[in-house]
Amino acid sequence: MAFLTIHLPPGLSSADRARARASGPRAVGSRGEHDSMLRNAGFDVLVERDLTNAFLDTARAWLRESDAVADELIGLEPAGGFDERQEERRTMIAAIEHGLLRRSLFVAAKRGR
Amino acid sequence: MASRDEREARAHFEERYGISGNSAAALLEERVIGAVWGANGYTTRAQADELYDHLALTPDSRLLDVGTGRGWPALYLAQRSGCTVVGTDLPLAALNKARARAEREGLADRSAMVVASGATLPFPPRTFDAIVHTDVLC
Repeated sequence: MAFLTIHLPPGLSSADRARARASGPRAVGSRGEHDSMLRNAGFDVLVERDLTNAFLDTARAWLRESDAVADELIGLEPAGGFDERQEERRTMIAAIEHGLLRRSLFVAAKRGR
Repeated sequence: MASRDEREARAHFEERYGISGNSAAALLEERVIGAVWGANGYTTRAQADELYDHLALTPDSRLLDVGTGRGWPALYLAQRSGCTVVGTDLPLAALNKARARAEREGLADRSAMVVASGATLPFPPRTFDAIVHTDVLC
């Protein structure tokens, strides 16, 4: 199994956790650490690598490049949809910059297979 | 029965995945992630290639992509490796687009798209050799 996941860093205050959850994708909010969850589910973690810098680059690119073709994208979405999405991107970028969101690669194998 | 979270997620993403693309959207995706598969997330082509390397997929492999959306990176990995792939997600609009893309790419006979929650996958144990997901289980 190999996967990429956006997650909260350990040790956040409850206020920062709430802000991170509000700033990230809908599903962000797992309370456990991925490596321990994988081990508890019977997987050995083979690779764990932080990709947060690349995540920030990509998030910034979505915002910047979308603005560059805004006139052609706005008509694709319901009224206000484009602006809403761009605002979500700004919020997420700020959260990444403030250390509230990370993105990591995990590679794991089922124990005994 | 779907949970409230699942129902809300389905409604949220059904609307977003129902949006049709155009040449500007394709150019945008190419500039941001380096590929054009109807993706709207943070997995770049280079990262999809890294997933491919880690999964060691072969034409005999059976791959599951949980939360595949419009088929990224499931269909790309199937195209690169020759493997069989099943993608799951909640929004039917996304899976219909993935299925159409699979047909255009000549992948229809070794791909399937299934409406299913990642929490209750409808497959028996050992159905798949490899599992991938990108920003689904956070």
